[in-house]
Amino acid sequence: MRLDVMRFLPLLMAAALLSLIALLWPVARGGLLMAWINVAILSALAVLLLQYGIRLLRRRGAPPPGSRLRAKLVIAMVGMLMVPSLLIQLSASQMVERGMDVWFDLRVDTLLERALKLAQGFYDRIDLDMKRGLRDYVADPELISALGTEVPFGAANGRLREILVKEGWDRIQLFDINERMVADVRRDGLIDVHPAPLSEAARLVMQLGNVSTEIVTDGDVEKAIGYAPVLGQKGSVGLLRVELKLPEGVIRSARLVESDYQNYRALEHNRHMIKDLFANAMLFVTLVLVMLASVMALWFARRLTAPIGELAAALHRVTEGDLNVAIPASSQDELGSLAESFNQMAERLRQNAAAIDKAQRDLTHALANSRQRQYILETLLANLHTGVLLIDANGSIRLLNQSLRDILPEAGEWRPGMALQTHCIGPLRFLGEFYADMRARDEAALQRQFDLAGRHVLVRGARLELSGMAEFSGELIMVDDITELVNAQRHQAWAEVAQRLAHEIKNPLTPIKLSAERLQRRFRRQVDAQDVFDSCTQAIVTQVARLQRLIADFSSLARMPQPKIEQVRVADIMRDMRELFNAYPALSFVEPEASLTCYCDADQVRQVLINLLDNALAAIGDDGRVTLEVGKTDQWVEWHVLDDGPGVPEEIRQQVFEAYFSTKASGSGLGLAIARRIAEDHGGELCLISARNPTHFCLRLPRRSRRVEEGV
Amino acid sequence: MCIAWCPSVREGWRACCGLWLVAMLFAAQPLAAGEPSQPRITRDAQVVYCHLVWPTDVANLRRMLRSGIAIVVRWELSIKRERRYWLDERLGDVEVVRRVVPDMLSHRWLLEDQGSGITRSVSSLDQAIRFLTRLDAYPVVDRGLLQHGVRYVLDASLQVYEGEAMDNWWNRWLRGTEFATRVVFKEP
Repeated sequence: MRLDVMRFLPLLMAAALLSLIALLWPVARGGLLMAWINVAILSALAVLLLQYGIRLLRRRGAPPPGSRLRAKLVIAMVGMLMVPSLLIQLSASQMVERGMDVWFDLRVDTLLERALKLAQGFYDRIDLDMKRGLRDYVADPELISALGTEVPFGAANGRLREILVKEGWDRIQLFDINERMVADVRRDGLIDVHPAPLSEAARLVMQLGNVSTEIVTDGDVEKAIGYAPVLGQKGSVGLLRVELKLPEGVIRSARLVESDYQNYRALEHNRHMIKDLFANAMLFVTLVLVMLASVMALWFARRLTAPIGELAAALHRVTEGDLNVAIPASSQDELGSLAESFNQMAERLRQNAAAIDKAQRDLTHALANSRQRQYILETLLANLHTGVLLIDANGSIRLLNQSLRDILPEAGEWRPGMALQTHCIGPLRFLGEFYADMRARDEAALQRQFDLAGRHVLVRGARLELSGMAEFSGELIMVDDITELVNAQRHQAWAEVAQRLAHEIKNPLTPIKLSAERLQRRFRRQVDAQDVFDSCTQAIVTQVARLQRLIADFSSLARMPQPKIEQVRVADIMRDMRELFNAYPALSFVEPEASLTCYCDADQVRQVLINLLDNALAAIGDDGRVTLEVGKTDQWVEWHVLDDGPGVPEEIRQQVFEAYFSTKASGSGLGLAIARRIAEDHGGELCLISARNPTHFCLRLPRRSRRVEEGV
Repeated sequence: MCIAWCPSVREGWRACCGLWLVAMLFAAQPLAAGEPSQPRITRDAQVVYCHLVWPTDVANLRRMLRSGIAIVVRWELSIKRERRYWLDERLGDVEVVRRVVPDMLSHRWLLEDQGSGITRSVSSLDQAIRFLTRLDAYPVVDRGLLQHGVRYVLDASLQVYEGEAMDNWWNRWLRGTEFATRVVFKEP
């Protein structure tokens, strides 16, 4: 399985960002605002990448078209920006490092130190001079005496003025032990009406008895304030407070030096913080640039890859088989040209596919028609009672149907592709001769009738010529079994002859018979040989009677009436038979179902059954048995006549239903022929199922009316 | 990038919360590393006083002050009534801001209590350092607000600024707490 690195890239980048966050985590105590902002930006980027990475991992299936190219473009563009940005940041950090080294150089440090010491020296000098001057007046007797007077106010003003002039101070105040101001001399001559109370430092001086100074700032003015106790014999009796206004120019410069020094030290103290601040500021700028570049790269990549994505999606649809795609050619550049070319290609594909589809439909339709025609032809041939044999120009069998095999059972093994003449042997020789005769003649059609063993077939041939429509030439041979037709024609001829003979013979028979009987009655006593006379006349009467029966049978065969078909209960016919043959104990009946019916002419059916039963009873001996029973199938009601007589010899089995065939001396040979004729007129059949043991005749009559079956 | 409220966004928020949890752990690290101190509570008839000491590197403070760097400390004191099953009830907050500004020219230290506005100049560096690092008997609450037999909590935290006070609103958030302590006391 190939690992898709692109799917893990956002997570890897998020991990890298988290590592960077851990690396840049603000732990110092100052100047962290920028660091926190950077951490927030990096965190936001990491979260976005995490979210995008998780979404990528959860996505199933192929990524959207163009997304990989877009990602690569964004990565490339951001990378192109990040590399120089990181290099610039590293260079800038190095420059800042070096700049800091220059900035906090030892010479600068020394210079500032000396400047500060110079300024401090000025203040120290002021302090020293003031303390030294104050110490000169700690035990000043005039001041002590002034403080010792009853009303000290103004007593020491003169002395104080002298000191003021001598020391160059701006103001001198004298306080007694009770912190009351007893003298106040100022260089400008003004006097405070409400002097300020003594400070803590002044009280300390009065208590401790030492000399002290302090610097007091009043706006832009700085004053050096000095305190000195006035010491009497018993200790401190007062406090001398002096002021000296420091020169503004010097003070300003000194304070500037101090400020610069403090700033320098503060910067030096925060040197690492400044470096961090600078680095964080650079990182912030880099991150902002990277984010802007990412947004721009994303926008640009989307704009660039959108047509490619559309093209890829369209190609995917074409691959899936959907040719109804078109890409909007929004630009005039190479991508627009590509989209236009794709649209043309898709249009051509659509046209080709439509043409192929139409050709396929036509072919399918033609094939269906061909199959339909073939099916119709095969069905026609299969259901045709005429045997069909198609022979090509080479004399090979091209096609034959089942009816041909039924009519000519000897041709049952014939198959298409066989040479006809080779297999026309034995009983089928006539067919080969017919085919040869037909090919030898120029006639388009030929017809002949052949009498085979017990069968008559009509063979018709037609020549199939090669034409534009049919790319086939050969001979078509059709074979019809016309045995029944020939038999019917023969029967018809016999019927006509019998009817004519009956008509011609029947008329003189009655006068002959009557004349013979009259001769018998009138001349019997007159003849000598009465016995001979009786036998002769009796023979005439008997033979005339026999001739009359024969003529009647002929008439019946010739003028067989059309059966009057109706629905008849089988049990009724069976009952009639039982009553009719009640005197024959050898005959037994098996009762049929009471509801069983058949469609027949009841009188003619009775005639058939009587004929069959008569024959059976005549055939059995004294111990023989005859059974009449009825069975049924879906189509037929079957009357079975069984007897255990000697049966029908096998050699005459085929002739028992022929007219005028009889094994009985007095039989006309028309009984079974008439019975079969009746059965066939009913649409049924009469057949010999078993020739002996038992001898079994079966009369099948239809259970349903033909008219009903034909839907009339 | 389209942000919709979908499982991936929830994952992103979880990751973000995890990130900030880590951040909070990092941020809380200096507080946990602070040295334990022994704050004390004293009382008089009306007022409860606290005694707090900032256990810091005094030499470093001394070095900075001598270098002329001003130092500001901000004590934040919070009095709460302890509750067992709920957040403690806040009774009051006290803020003490003290600043020491070196005067390099006169070798003195200007001590400023920005709450009261009192300014004092001292010549002793130790006094200035003590001013920054200790709250001695500082009144925090009137005893009239307290109930007998109830436990109270004094939470104290200290922020330190070097140079200017940088009294910006974000400075309080961004600058970590230098020192924090807690004392629990019961009003007799």
